[in-house]
Amino acid sequence: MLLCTFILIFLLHSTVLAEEVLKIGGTGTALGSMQLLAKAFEKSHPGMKVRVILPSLGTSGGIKAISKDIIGIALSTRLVKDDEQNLGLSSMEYAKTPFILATPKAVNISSLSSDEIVKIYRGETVAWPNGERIRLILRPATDTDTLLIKKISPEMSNAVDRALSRQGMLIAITDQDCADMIEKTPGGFSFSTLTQVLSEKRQLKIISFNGVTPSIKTLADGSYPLSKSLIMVTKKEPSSLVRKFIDFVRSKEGVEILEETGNLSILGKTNP
Amino acid sequence: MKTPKNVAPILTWLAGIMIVMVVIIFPLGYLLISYQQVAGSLETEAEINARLISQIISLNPEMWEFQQLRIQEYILRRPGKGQAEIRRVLNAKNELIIESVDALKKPLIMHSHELMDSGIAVGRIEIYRSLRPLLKETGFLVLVMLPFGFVTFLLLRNLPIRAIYRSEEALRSSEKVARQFAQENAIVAEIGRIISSTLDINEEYEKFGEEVRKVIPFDRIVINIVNHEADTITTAYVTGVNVDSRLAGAVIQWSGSATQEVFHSKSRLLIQTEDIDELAVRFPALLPHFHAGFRSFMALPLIYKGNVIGVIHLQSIKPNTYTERDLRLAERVSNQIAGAIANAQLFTEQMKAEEERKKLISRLQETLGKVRKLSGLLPICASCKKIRDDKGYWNQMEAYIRDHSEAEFSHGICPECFKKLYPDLYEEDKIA
Repeated sequence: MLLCTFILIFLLHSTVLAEEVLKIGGTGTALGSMQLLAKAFEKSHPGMKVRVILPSLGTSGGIKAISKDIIGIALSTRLVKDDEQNLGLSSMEYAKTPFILATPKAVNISSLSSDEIVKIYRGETVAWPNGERIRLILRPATDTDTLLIKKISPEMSNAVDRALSRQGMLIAITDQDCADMIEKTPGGFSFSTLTQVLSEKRQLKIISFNGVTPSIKTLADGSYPLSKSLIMVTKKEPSSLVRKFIDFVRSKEGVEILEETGNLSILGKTNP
Repeated sequence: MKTPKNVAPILTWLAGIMIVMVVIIFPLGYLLISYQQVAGSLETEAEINARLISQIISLNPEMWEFQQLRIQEYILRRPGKGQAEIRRVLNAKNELIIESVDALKKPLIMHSHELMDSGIAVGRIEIYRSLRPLLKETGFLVLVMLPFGFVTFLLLRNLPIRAIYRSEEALRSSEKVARQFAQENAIVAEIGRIISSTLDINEEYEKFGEEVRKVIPFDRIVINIVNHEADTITTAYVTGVNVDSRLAGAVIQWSGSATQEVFHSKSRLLIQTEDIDELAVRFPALLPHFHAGFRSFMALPLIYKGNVIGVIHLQSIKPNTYTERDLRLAERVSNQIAGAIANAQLFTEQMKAEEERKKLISRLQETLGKVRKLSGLLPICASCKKIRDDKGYWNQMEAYIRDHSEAEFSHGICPECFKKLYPDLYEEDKIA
């Protein structure tokens, strides 16, 4: 009896030791779709485990974590910089997702123009058409989303700076925080991504930008101009598990999952 | 009592200590309090941020070090209006996780707080702040306090010293006045003693003048006795610069004199003038004095039993010699001597009266003696009416009476004898 117990413990321990775990972390935008991909990967690759780290580490946290071999794949919204390349990192854009305007479901508006958004950020438009107060939710000044918003136009860039300089503004640190705040804040308004809304099943109202509804199709045909790149950062010499997972993401099943969750799959663009 | 010379260093030290307290201790106190405030603020900041970051750690204990965005949000924050700071988050291995660095100038103050994961320290947050602004403020405060302190030092040091000097001066002045007053009292008393020491005051006038000179300056002093009914004054005493050769005992008319003015007004008179015309109008009797060089005149009544018996004059060649003090003092002298002069006058008058009385008695006695001699038994010739003297000689009656009395004889002829001796002439004279 005692022998059987020892044998069982040994077998279980061996199983645990044999099981490979791929940790994935980084920008919150990609975490929802990545969880679905991980789940599908584990299903198709028995014995291989993928753990998506929540809450999000953000792009910089993810890159830092992979540089210290804490995770296997870092999800980023930018390609690695030169100094990061020197750490033995390699980056690859695997998808784009529409960068969207979002409000709570209750906000009675369907579309906003660039000028209207500028006025909201400047504080010149303070209420929705139904009279409800607009509660603008900002991201930190150095956050990728803020930089993306500022790239829309010079006027938008100035308007964002002005909004950031105002006291008492709502600021969301991570993508998940931002989505949570939009959902919970009456009259809330901010940017998110289509993949986050779909993959995390967010109760958000997606607002058309200059009359164009964000979708994979409009993004693909170029009619919708705002997008966010999703990039996987790995070691230049990744493990076989990492390679297998990347291969899965590039596979037909992986592409389908990405598209179902609001991502336009892009394969083969790597850096370096 | 300490003199200001001794007190000044003590006051200087005390003022210096107080200024040191104001100029150094006040800014030092400000520095210490502000330092404590900064330290407290940093401590609070560190604790609050440690708690916030600890919450991030508790959500993801294994990967918290890579929650860059979340942690960054806290360490990018700055209190107030962007107070410059350095904020660092380190793990348990003392490795830097993330930092937010503002340019800070040394010296720096730092506070750290542990980052906890279920009661276990897994890192710490350090917050640095520069003390340079605080030191600058303190330095500025010192600079501001310096002139204030300097002024305060001068006030604290000089005001008490001045007050002490003033007190000392006042005391010295009081002592001087007291000494002067005592000296005056002594001299006035001495004058009183001198004047009262004899009924023959003329003997003591010189001593009196010497004593008066000790307290009142003069170039000439005169005591005039008023002969009101005769409109004259008698100079009882005079000394000093000679004017019109007047000596003691001189009797002069008092018209136009200061003595007359003082006698009638019964009050003191002070004349200090360079204007001869003014003097000529008011006191023509003083013109010889003016010509003799006198410019300051002081005259005071000698009042005895409500009556002015004389006037004392003090005269000086120097212009504006006399002050109120001199007048007051001269009044005391005049009061002191008036009684004695009055008594001396009475004494003199009594002496004169006594002498006159004695002379009169003598003359009466002499006359009475003569009257007795003639009224004795005179042997007379029944025929020729010659009278025999003590030596047995027969003398003509006229000669005898002339020699033994004050009587003189004037010879004439009575009508009966004329008729008898010269009948013819008698008849013619009768017809005519």
